[in-house]
Amino acid sequence: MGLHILAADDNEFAGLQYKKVFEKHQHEITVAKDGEACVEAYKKRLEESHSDANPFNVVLLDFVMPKKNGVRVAKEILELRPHQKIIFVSAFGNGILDDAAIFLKDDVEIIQKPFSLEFLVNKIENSHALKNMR
Amino acid sequence: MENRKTSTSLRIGISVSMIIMMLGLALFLNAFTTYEITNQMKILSDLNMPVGQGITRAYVIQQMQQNSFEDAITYQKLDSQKNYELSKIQFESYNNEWNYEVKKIKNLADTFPNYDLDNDTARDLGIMSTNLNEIESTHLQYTQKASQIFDAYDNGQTNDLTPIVTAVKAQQNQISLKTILLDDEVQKLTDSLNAGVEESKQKSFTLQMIIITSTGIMSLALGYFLNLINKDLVQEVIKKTRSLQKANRKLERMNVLKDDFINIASHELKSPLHPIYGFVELARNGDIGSEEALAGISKQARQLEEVANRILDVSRIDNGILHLSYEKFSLSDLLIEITSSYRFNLDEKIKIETALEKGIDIEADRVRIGQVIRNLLNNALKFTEKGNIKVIMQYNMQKNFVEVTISDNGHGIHPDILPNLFNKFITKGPKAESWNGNGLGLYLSREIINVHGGHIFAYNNKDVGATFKFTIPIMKHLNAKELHQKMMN
Repeated sequence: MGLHILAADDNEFAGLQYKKVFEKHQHEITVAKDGEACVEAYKKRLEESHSDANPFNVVLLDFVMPKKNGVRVAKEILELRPHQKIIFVSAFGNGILDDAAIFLKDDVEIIQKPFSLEFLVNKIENSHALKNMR
Repeated sequence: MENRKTSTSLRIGISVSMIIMMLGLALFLNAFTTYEITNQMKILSDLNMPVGQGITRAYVIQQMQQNSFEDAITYQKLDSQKNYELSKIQFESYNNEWNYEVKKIKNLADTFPNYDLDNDTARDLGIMSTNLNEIESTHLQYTQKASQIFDAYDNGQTNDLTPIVTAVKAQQNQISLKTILLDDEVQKLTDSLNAGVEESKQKSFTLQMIIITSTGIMSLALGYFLNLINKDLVQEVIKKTRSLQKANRKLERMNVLKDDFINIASHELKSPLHPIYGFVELARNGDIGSEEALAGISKQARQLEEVANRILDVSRIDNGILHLSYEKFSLSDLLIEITSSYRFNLDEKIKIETALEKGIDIEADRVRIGQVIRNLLNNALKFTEKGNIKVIMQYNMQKNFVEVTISDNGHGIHPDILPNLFNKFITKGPKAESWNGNGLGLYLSREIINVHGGHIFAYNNKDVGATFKFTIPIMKHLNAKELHQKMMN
């Protein structure tokens, strides 16, 4: 069964590439071009689902986005769903984001740019499988 | 500050040496006064008093000699030979005694110059000696006359001796009078010496009081100057501490800026790289066509180049080597070109309006000015979700400048940022909620406009949004008058 992923990146090509690679692996993906659109997409699906499960299996967030940045988007999503799995994608040097309290949560991860798309798909699939096994 | 400190320490030095000098002077004065008083006291006890006593004795002896002379005259008239002889012998003996006493006084007076005498005393002493000599010679004459009388008696001369006796008596009175006067003089000398001692004491006391008071004042001044130096030092320390704190804060700020820059540079360079890898991966796996991948890659590469150029520009500006390539071009054409390319990519919510005055060509760096216009447009677009962005261009021929205004109706500029808007890395830092942009665009824009000899500034509109304005000279190296003449021709 495919996963449902929400990806937010202001680089149109990055969004396009996520879409291509996840759809190739039979996953469903929603792409948002900025932070605000991302929160809206999340809320929309949350309202439609009418279930206790998280609306998306994984939310992929770029740090730097117009209108709302990644950290703010993550905060808003975690307020709605405290156990939503979130993966941050960072192009910053190491260290700068260490002190953000949000990374203390188990469900929040960070990966550094650049990385291969297959690596990302594998990582998400593996962590999901692991979670289901528990 | 430096001068004041030097002069204060100089004053302290002077105060200290003055105090030492004053104390030395006081000691010297004290020793001198003691010597003077001692000397005067010595003259008094060694000389004046014995002389005075001697004179008194001489006077008494002279009186008794006088009596024995008169006795001898009386006894001779009474023919009392025995008593006459006795009186005569007494007369002789008093004479010897008187001579001895006067000799003693003269010897004492001779030792006066051995003492360190002041002028007045020496003069008084001179007068006294002269008087004493006079008395002595008068006395000698008196004795000789008396002897003549006695000899006449002894030889039985009975002729009238009355005149000579009268003369002797007159001389007797003269001697008595002179002796009394001499005594008075000695008394006067004694008084003046005593007064001198008093005066010396008084003078010394007054001088010492003056010295002590002056020393006290000097000490107060010293204290004051020391206090002044202390205050200066305290001020200096406070000032230095403040400037160090300031420098420290500046360094801390610069350190934060440096960290931010590294993060920003990292982000700006890595962001376009990431999709390039993605395109390569997708094309290699056959997920997308190579044409599509190459188009994407080349676009990202251009973005990377832009970022790299921007960072290079900043370092050029920082090193003062931003060179302009001047050319003549139509600024309105450039603005139309740029705004058209933006319109092509905009969604329907945002419109760009232009109001461009037709005019002459300007002399500037076309590429750099284009960079500034793009930066300002990007900035306006970044903060505007929907509405109009107005681009206005106006010439001012009289003042030789052209003015470009770009205003939006977006969020406006945050009041915290506004004062430093055109500084390097001024953006809300990467940790802030709505961070966006690399903080170099406006900095570069300002530097480019400044190198052109123009001005750039920004303000929030009264109703909504912000306005950016820049002016640059129409003609390089031309003042308004020359431009006007050029226009006339």
